[in-house]
Amino acid sequence: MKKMIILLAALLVPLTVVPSFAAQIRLFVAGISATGVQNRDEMQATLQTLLASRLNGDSIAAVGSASEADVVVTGTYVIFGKIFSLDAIAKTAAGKTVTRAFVQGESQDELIPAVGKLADKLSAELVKMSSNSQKPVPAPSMVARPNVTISGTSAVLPVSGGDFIKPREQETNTTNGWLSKRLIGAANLMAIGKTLPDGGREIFLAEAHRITFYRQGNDMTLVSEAELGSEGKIISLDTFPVNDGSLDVYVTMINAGEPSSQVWQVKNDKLVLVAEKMPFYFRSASLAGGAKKLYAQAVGREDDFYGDVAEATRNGSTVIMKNPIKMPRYGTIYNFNQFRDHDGTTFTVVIDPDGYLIVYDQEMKELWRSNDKFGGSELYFQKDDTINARVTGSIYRWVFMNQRIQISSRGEILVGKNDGFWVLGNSRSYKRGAVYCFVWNGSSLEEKWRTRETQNYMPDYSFDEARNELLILQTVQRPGITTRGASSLSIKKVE
Amino acid sequence: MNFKKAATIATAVGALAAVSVPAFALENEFHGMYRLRAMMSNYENAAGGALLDDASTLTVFEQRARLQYTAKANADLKLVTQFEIDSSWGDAAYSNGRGTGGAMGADTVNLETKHVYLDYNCPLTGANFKVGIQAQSDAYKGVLFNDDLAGIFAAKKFGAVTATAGFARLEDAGNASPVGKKTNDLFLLDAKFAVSKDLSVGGSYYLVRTDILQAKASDMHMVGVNAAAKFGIVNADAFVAYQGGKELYSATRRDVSAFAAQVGAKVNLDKAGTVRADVLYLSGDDGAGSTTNAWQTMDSGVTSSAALTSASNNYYGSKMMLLVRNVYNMDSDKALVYNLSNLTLLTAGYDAKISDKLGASVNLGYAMLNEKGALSSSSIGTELNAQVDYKMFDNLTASLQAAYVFVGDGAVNGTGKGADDPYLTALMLNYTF
Repeated sequence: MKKMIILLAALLVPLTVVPSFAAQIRLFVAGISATGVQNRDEMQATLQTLLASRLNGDSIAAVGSASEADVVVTGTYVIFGKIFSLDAIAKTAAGKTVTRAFVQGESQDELIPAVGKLADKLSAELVKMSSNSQKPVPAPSMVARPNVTISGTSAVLPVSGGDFIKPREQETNTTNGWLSKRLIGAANLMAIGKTLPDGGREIFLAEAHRITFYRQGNDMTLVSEAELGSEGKIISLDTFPVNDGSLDVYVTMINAGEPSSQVWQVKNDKLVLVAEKMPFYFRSASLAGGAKKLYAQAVGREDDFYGDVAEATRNGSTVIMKNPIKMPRYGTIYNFNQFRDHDGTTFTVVIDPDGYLIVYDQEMKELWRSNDKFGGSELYFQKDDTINARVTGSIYRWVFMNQRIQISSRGEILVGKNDGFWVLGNSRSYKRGAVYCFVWNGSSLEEKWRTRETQNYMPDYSFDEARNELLILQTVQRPGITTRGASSLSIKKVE
Repeated sequence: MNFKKAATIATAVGALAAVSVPAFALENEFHGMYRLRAMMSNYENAAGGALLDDASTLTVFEQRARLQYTAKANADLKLVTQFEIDSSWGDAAYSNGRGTGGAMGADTVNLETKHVYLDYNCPLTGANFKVGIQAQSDAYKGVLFNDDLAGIFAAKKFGAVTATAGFARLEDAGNASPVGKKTNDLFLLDAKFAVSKDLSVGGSYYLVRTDILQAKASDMHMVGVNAAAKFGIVNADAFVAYQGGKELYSATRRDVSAFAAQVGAKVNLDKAGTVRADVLYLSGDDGAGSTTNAWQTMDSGVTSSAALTSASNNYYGSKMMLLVRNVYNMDSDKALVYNLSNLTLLTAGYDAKISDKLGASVNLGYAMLNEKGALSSSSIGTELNAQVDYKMFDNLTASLQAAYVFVGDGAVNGTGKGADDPYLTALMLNYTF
């Protein structure tokens, strides 16, 4: 009988445990900065682990990343003489402060018990907050900072007293941004052109074989478009001003596995081809937040991206390269950028093929690597790979593009991130995206803000620093066998 | 231990596990493929044999699924595995054996392990190592070997030079109970130099050492150079290779003096498509003298017989479907020239990209023996083939293939009579991810 009771109890345990997870607070200890200690990095990691394990319990589940968390805890550990203070602050994913707590001690022997006390204090407040949140509460208002796009991952809130939920952004209204109408064609790429006298701007979009030219004012007005033929696939779209006041639109295309790029200009509202068959990848970028320059990289016989990235100037269809920039491991013209710290030291940041952000020093040694993945693109090109077809099943090798990294003049590092349920090998179908902004704190990239997640795949984004606006391209309908699909463009003001 | 203490320990362990999991978590990467090939042919099927006269038309449905799982510990360390399930529709059910399970009832144990290897970057040397059962190819388009093998291969970049060294145990005569004697081993040194963005050159030394079929170990040496270059709209590549030492897969082990050469070009005509042309020469032996001039090539199973019954070599770049092995072949892996030797192969092709989703290619090839021996002619045959590809989704392509060979008198006929011209038509679905 006793065995039966134990067995029944064992069977009932899962039934009681599972519902309790539903009410758990998902918490992430983002980091504890340590000051005045030796082995600072080791101490920070140790404190982070200790605090996470002590916070983890029935009501709180410690998770592995900020993106999974409802609450993010950060802290400081400071020593003055023999006395230490351990302070922590818990914020919601949206950045709202939930609670603060601290403990002090007089020797290192008290440190571990102090972590436990700190965890107890935080737990008590967080559990209280959790139980209060079961009651209907008004959604946090965006009125106080209507133009800020900073957001958390918990974008859906319960509607007071009802069974329906709706996106927080809709609940608080959408006046903090501009949203285009539905644009025909699932664009993969976007480039900003000139600013117009009426305050509007030129926008160029690219599908696999087509470029379209819009004027963005109160609405997106299609001005002209050009069909490029099926022999090449567009993998990059960039704009760069020419001395005569016109604007070059660089269209990097892959034709038979090799770059065969074109340059277009707008003349009398028409897109006119001015150069073609240039065997380079092109990108215009503001490295380290500096002036926008045109860069190029070649393809090799063995390498998809060969040699250094260099500044490029164009004379007709001839390209002159100068001032080469060494690439770190994984670095290519499309997935790297540079930033400077307060001392003016230049660092290189790259999204590696697995999606991790990596920061390199001037000797191209790895300094830091993100724990979360970023980037992600459905855009790819293919190279002939018959020799490996026996293994891969395909006579082509897939080379995926990635989200670009942009650096503002203030040293902010912007990077896109797409997420999706169905991202498997070369089969990619992302369903939401966001733009993240980081700053370098001397040892790692710290998240400063992020946009709300889009409801669709975000193929490209662009930060217009002059106007402090973030342009986000979304695929609202993927292309089909007979349809081009559709896109939309949203513009958010960044404070 | 009282309940309270046990619960405390359990909670602590649970909490630690919750915190620890992300740090130890492996990153999982999946790739794979599925292919269905429905064939109508008078030649291509899974049965062995040569050309026949009055060869009747047959229909064969073959499918292959591959699943590749990679467990990444970090950017510098991963375990790569790949598994394969092959079946021909109607072959067998409720059985244990590779390549079956397509008969009514299915339920067959037919999972094959294709690859299991560690892929890591050495923290001391910076070299990339691949250790285990893996896919490897020579630097000569597979005319010596392009197959799965067990070994260790290290590659490291020195500026513009990429150097590779490797060792593979191709075979142990003990088979399922390896004894470490009577083996067939491959030693490899390769170097590739990217001279510029438009030119790369390479050089190799391969050594195959074996004592499986005779008392004393003997070596077959191969040296070669290769190059790839771009001249405007033309992409060209070429190689030459020489083999010396003792012949492979033969108890007599004659001296070898064999030669291979290839030159190919691909012209990108932009909107008009791509034109290809290729010449391959692999020396043959006239049977006279104590030295063989026959090009030595790798075979995957030679313990029981000196005959080349299966091939570990191929020349998929030719785009031929019947003259030499076709890259899409599965169980029905037959070709008029199965193991590559004593061959001159001339091919030309044209690829058109009609739309983003529709592509087509046509190919013409002529194969001949360099040494015809007692045969009345050196001509093996002339193949004309075509393929139309329709990309239903990014990862799924439907293809229609057709090939016909005007067989020459130099082709070996299994019946000794005049052989029918072999043909093949196939409808294929190819899904890769």
